[in-house]
Amino acid sequence: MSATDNNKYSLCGILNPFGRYPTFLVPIFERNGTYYLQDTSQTGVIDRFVACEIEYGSVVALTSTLFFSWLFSSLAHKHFSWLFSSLAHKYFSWLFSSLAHKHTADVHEMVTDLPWDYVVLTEERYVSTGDSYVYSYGVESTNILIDTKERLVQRLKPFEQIISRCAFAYLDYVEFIEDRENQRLALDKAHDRLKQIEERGADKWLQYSFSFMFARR
Amino acid sequence: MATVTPLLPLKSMSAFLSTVQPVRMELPLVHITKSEYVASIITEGALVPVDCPVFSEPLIYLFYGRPAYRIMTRSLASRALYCPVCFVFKPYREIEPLITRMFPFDSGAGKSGRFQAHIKHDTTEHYQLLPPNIRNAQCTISCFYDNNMNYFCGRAKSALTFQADEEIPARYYALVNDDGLDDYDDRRSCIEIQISKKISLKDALLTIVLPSTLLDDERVSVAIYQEWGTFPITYAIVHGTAPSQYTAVIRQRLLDFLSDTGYLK
Repeated sequence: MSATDNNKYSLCGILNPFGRYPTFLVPIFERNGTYYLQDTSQTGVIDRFVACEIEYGSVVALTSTLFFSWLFSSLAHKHFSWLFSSLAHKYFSWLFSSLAHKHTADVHEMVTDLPWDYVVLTEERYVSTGDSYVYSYGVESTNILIDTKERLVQRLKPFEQIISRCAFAYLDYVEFIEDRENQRLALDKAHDRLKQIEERGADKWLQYSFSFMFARR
Repeated sequence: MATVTPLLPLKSMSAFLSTVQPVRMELPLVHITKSEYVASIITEGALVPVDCPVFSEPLIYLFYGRPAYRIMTRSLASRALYCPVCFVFKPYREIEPLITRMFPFDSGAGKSGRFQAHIKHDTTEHYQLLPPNIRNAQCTISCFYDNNMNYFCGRAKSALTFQADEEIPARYYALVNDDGLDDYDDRRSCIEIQISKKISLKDALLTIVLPSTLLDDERVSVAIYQEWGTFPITYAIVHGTAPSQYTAVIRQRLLDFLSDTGYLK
């Protein structure tokens, strides 16, 4: 994709590659059946989109587009017949469209009855190169925030206490909100956490982390 | 009837390198994978070979001293890697007996025609480093890059000349020296190592570079310190998804680590 790419890419899902919360998440975009990651050179705007493949197991929020792709990938994997796939498609089409017209909270309550745990994205969001970079943060599995950096910094403030319970998530958080004063504090907290496992190794981690965060800036 | 003029047999890469003095310091082998796979790697306590569509057998891909990522599918839609984890193995030939094949570049990229301007896709096998050992990697660096730092940074020596029968190394040199083809990325000059057996992680690692948030999971930090006997170097994931940044961040972390520990002399 070049910088002159004016196509619209729709936000179709959110991935959590780490399997835990709280954490920053990965927004996935779709265009013409291909999935993309946004890319930036720290300017705060999207420079380009890069094609990617999705690990369906790490999908934590999705739109109907990604839902069907996920469903059929799963069916194909399990070698179900085309007939079953067709019936399942019709059933889930109906189910998904029913769900999509409800409020997100209600939807989540209903979908958690399914054997998957995910949030349904009902709001359509399209972006192009030159638009603000889209960030996502999962405070917990049912509380996934999607926004620009400026707005996400504000929206995360009420959850600071929850985030600070996880030393390394907090370390990422203070870097994201550019809170220089608390970075050293967060580093010490994470160091203490590692010291409980292995003291010398924790010091080595601190040595490199400190130098990356401060000395080599 | 036309007469066939016998051609001078071309020197293979290995024959060309056989007279070269290797660089002194051996670099660690590096394996990059997705964060999603860390849980299963912890359960296994090892890296396990996975089916490679290019060589039609289960393989683990490592790169000599550099954080490159081997794409394991034929799909074009798989270039991006988000939140990668980088395993850095102790050198000193502990893994050497396990090596199945070795190439001076990403063989998958070569076989798919990505290097076509210099190396035809069906000639990739000619570039195999035989026997597949660490010495051949050190000789490749000595001959084409001069030293480990230049190799890490992808800076080839200037103005190398070749004899008529040295077309294979000459083509490789042209590939790694081609500044105008950034689409080739790192993979044109990363020495690739294929292994077809499990690699146990117990006491095998120098370090592991990973997203900091993974350390909030006690299984991960316990595995790193207590089971694998190493320590982590972390990077922040605040940029959310930018794949180009992750590659650059990991490269910088590894560059600093290898410089501090004297590998890039």
